[in-house]
Amino acid sequence: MEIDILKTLIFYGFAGATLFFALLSIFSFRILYSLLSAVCVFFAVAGIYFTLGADYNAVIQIAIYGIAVPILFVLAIMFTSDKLDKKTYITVQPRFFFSFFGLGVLFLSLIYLIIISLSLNSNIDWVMQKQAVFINKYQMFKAISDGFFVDYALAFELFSVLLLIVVVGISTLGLIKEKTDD
Amino acid sequence: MIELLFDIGLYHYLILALILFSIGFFGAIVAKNMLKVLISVEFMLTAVNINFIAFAGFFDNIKLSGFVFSLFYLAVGAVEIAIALAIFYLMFRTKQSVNTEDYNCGKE
Amino acid sequence: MEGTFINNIYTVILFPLWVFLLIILGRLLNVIQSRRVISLLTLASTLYGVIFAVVTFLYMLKTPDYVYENSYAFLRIENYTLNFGVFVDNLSVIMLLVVTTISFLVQLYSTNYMYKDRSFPRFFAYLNLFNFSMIGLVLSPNLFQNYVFWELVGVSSYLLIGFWYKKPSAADAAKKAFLMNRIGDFGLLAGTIAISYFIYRYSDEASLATVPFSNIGNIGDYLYSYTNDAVFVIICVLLLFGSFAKSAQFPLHTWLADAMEGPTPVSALIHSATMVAAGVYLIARLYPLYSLSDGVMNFIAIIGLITALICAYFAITQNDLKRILAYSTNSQLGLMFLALGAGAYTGGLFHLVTHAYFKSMLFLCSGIVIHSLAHQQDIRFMGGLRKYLPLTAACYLIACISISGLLFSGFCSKEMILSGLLKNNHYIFAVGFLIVALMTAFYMFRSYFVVFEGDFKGSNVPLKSPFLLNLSISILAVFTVFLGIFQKGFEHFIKFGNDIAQSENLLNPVFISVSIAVLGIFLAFVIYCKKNKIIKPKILYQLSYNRFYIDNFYDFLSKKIYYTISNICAFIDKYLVDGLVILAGLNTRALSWVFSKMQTGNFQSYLAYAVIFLAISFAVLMFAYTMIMQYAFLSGVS
Repeated sequence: MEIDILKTLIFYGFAGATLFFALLSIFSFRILYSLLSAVCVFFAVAGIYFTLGADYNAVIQIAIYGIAVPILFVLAIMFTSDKLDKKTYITVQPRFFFSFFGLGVLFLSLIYLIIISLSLNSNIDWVMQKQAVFINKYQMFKAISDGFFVDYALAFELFSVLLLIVVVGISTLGLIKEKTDD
Repeated sequence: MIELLFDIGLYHYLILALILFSIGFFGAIVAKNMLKVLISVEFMLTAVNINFIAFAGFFDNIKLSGFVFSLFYLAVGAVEIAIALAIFYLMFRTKQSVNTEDYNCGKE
Repeated sequence: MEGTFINNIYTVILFPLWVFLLIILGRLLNVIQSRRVISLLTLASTLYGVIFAVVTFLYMLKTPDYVYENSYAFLRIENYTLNFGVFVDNLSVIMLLVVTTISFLVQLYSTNYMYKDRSFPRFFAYLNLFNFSMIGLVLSPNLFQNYVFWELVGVSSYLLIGFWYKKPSAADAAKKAFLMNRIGDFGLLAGTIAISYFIYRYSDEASLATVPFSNIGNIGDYLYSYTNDAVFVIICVLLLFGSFAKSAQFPLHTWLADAMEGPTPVSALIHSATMVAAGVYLIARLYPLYSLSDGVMNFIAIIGLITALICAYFAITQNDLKRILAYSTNSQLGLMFLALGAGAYTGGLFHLVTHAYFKSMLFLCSGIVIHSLAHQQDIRFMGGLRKYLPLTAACYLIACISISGLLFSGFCSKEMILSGLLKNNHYIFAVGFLIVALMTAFYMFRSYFVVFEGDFKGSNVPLKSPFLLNLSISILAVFTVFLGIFQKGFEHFIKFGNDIAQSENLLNPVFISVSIAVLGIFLAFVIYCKKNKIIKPKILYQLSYNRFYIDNFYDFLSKKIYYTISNICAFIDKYLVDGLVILAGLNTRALSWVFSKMQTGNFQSYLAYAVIFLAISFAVLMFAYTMIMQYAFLSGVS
């Protein structure tokens, strides 16, 4: 079977960037650097979406996670920036090791699941040889709009209601007065 | 066997999502800064999104339901961040701290 | 006329109970306050019993071998019927006569003796309770009712010994008597149930399973044929243990001397004449059963002889007047057991009757002495009381002569026992009996000489004895002197089989026993009246004074060994059982400490727990999945 080496390189590049920036984001000293690394992660993930042919999703990802959410975070960082220092790095409580260990076990068992399914599933060849199909852009947009307005119209309407609730909820939260000592 | 590494299939995406999710989870647990915790949660959401899109890209070429749900999910994530930041703002107003160690009001 | 009396004989049981309840409730409701009314009621109830006993006795004399039984079903289980009621035969009526007459005289005595006591009504209530239970005991138609009243007698004995319950020694003595009796009662109950079981299981006659006294001969035969020797002997020994405890025989004899802590009339009534004779009475009742096995009979005789010997030996050195009499009672009861065990059935029972009268008289005399000396019981501080209390001294002397077997009723009964022993060729027992007789004469006259002869050693002048006290002991003295006349009649009235005491070769035993008694009296006279110095063999004296250290041994047994075992149990309980409980508590505390430490309140720690739980469940899931897949894989291959 012929391997598309370019596709492989693109995938590994985006995947490596994703993971690298994710780790960087968690282990960086300053919260602003964390946020910048997170933006990089979101961009890299958008690249991953491109490799799967989900162009529209990638654009939305960049628009929301790459731009809108970081702006919110920047606002939050702005009014807390005075309080930031190196004390708020990462914890050295026992939960550090516990979670490290727990996630390691989780990770290993999932990898094990994959290996087991690879070795036992008789249908594996079909799965392995299945390639991501880059479909026509017009078809993709049609499918997505069909999904939004036909198949999942109810979910879409509910989601609009949710957004309304959120807007009202956040306004209400912002109006809560600070408690006075009484 | 080595070709499995280079022939990019569904599993590569799944493992990528798994690693990203783990990193996010780990960050959510160990970070001492509240904002960093929120960022880590975003990583976890993103990892799940990758799974949605990967499955849709590999198996559902016609209806692309995974893409649609990924969009829903993106929006929900954005909403969640907005609410989380609002709550964080309120909490910060009372405690004047971003340190997660100070937010132990779950004890009471 | 007599039929009316015998048909209503159950009222003799119920009248004292009614008076008992009347006194108790009257006290509670403040209705009856007068001591005179209380004593009159009590005396009336007992006199009622005396009249019934006498009339019934006369009726029984006229109609030989007459047996009256009137009972109703108390408990009915299928074909098994437990009857409660009254049963009168020759033995019961004799016991009834003894119990009621002595009870009456003692109550007459107590009316004066206890008059000053604060708890006079309580005392009379207890006396009535005792009367009720004792009469119920002697009129029991079967072994089960016998057991019930046996326990009631024990209870009233306990209450009366501990009458002055504020005195620690009295309270202790009451407990001791009760516990010692419990040992015997347990044996009696076990034996009763065993007999009932065997009869019910193997016999066609279910009516015999309640062990009715009217048919005890058949029961004995059945039991003997259904069981093997060992079981039969075990049942008999269990039953005998009841008798041993009640009559204070050898292993369980220690309570009787301590029971003298009770008021003197109680000692006279319960612990010399009536209740302690219940053991002898029960043996006489079950005599057809016991007489089937020679081993059992010999066992009774040997235990009786041992008790008679050691208690007579103890009595020699005691200084407490009532204790001397108590050991004397013990020793005489031993003689009765010896007589019954050796086959001198009539002699033993006649000795029971005569002994009851003269021993209660002795106790009442000692009560007068103690009363007149302001509760001085030590004979070393008495002496020369004959000048102050001439009637008491005379009565005491009569009783001493009688108990020594020199003259009067004691002579007759002892002769009957001795001739019975000789007739049955129990020469060893006869020798033992004579030794006991020697010691009896010695210690009785020792007490007489020390108390009533010589010079007065006390500080206060003795008080005169009141009329009622003198009256009761005088009547008892009359009984003591003249009861011997009825020896012949008694032999025909109470007999077992063809056992009629032989009077033909009576001369030799009479000579021997009288000379033995005279020897004892002479020794006592020489040593205690003439004040001749003798060398006391110190070891023997100490042994006797300390009663072979049997009490100390029981103390050791109860205090040291029992306490040690208790301490071990307490240790186990405290550190092992409680330790486990505490350990469980500690575990919980440790776990809760851990869990409370886990509750930091920080949301990230909760996330960490979630991750750990997720990891563990995922690992388990993976493991299970692998197992299932491997199994499917393997089975698919094969």
